[in-house]
Amino acid sequence: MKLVEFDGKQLFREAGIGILPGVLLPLDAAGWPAETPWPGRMMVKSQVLQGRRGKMGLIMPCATPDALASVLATLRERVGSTPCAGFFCEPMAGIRAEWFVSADIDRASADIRLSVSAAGGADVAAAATRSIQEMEQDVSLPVPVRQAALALASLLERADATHAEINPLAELEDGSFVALDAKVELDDAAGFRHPERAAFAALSPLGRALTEREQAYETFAASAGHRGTFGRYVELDGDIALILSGGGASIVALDALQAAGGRAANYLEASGNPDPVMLREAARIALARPGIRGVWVAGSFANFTDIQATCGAIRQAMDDLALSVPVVIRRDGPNAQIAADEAAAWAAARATPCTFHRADTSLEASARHLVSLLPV
Amino acid sequence: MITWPHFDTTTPVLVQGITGKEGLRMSSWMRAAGTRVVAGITPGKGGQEVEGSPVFNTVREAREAFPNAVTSCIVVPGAHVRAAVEEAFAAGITFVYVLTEHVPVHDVRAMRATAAAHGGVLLGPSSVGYLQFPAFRLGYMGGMNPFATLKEGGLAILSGSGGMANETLMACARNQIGVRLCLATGGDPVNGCSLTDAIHLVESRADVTGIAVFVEPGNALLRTLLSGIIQPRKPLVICLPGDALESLPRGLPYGHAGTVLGEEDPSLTEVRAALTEKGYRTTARHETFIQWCREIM
Repeated sequence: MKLVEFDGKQLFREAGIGILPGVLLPLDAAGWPAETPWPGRMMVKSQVLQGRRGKMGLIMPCATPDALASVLATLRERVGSTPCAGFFCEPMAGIRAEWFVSADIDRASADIRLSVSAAGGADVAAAATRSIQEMEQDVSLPVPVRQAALALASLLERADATHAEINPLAELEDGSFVALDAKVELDDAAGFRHPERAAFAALSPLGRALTEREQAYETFAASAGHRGTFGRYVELDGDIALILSGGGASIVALDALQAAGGRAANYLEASGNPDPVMLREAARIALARPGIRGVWVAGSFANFTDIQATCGAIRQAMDDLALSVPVVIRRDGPNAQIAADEAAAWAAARATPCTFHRADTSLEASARHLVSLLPV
Repeated sequence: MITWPHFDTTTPVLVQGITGKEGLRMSSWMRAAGTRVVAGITPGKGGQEVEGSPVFNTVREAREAFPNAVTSCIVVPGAHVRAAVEEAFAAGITFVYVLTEHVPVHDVRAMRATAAAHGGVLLGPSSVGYLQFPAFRLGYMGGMNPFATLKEGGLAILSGSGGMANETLMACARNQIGVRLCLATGGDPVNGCSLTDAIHLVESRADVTGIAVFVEPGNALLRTLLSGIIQPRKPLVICLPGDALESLPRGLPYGHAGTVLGEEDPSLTEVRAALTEKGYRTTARHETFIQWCREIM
């Protein structure tokens, strides 16, 4: 889960990192709240997840409360359908210097890695990295910069975050240091021990509004239970519906389809012996997309997923929707031969073209076969 | 560097979480592949039996009854995995395998540190398992009856993905490519045993003569190979898919929590070219990968 600036700064404040006092206005705010005194010139910042907000015109200055309505209207227009959690108004500050400070996890060593650069701001280049111990001992950096970096390190562990970044950490004219922006990414697997996350804005990370089916899938996945893994569903601009199985295989299959000249209508991955009732529902969401010309059910040679149950669930979803476009299934593993026989009987009864490939047909060859079935 | 224990059909294995639905299923599948599951552990259920094996309340009690058992498989909910791993190492277990998915990454960091402090090995979490000759299997790797079709040989299959590890393993069986071992590290951002660790392991084993690695975008192995931190001497072939991720929103995980093409990352075509220049044959296509496995063996 990626946090918008406002939510990230709440975590910064708890970690002892300086922030400016600001006010979060809702997305539909008409102007400055009457009960709050106007603190002076403001920066009005769209609370979207995208980076480079300044360059994209999603941050605007505002000198007076009277000007705010038109600033908000302009920002709303620029934000368009991009998911946005509101507008954060922060007093403008005189800046003496800007630093870049970040903390993340080094995937090779599993250690927390801190990065600091004296050239913070919009065009920050690669920053030097240090371990926590190196940072504690590095006297070449100003004390507040070191403190901010070490505060991010402890924030990662306390909040179960995987990445936290301040860019810029500004040294103000009065000598204080404040975080003018916040990027925080939380580990979804640790959500069970962080009830406070319910207060954070959960924006789609796709950078656009969810489609109707993506929205339906989100709602579905949130209630899908613990049997199997229902991964991400993302709509693409092709016409072949994909129901993929296996995290790694889903990537191989997408590549294979692209190399065969096919265009995916979606990415959808469900694996780990998913509950057939839930899989039928997930498949129904993906297959309901108008304009689907073919269906590819593809996965790796399953270790323990019941292929018969999995394929049965997808056929039921096709029956539910009376979808009769060509289907190619490429699955193997437990009960695969029964699944192949059932698919053949189903295809004959419905007069739906259906090919069942077991693992002796590669994912690549299966993709080529599907593409060959579709008229150009 | 981690030291891998010797495993064979006589190796006694414990299962933490054996009375749960997943624990029951995994132990029965391991038994079907010939693994000697001697006991299980579920707090509060000591004294029960599962498929003829006694259940203990703690790993320490199980170890008192089976002092030679130093391998434990963990199938407990994600929130309890860290405590189960710590309990295992504290009780003298030296090899811990974790099937469970969705374990918080900071817990995995702590588990790695615990394993290192005890000089033990942690495989997983989110690992579908480990399989080797002489016939021995942890988890589900290879399906119900893997040794019926596999041919013994010198290839080591190393993969982040459990499904693609099995896909490769079964393709080797069909093509009569002899396999020594097959290991899935799990697709999390941080693994108890990383692909880099796994390469160190197979480099040191005389019975491994070739290495086949399935690796996904974002895996730390790509960096360790390209920077020369590790320089495997045995023939190594790599399958690195993911070109299609370039048409999806970047910076998000796909399939596995650790499979991410970052916003500033180079294209996979460039990464493959750089690996090839280092002397590692690298392909996006699994069918080519299998052909190369045959060639290096």
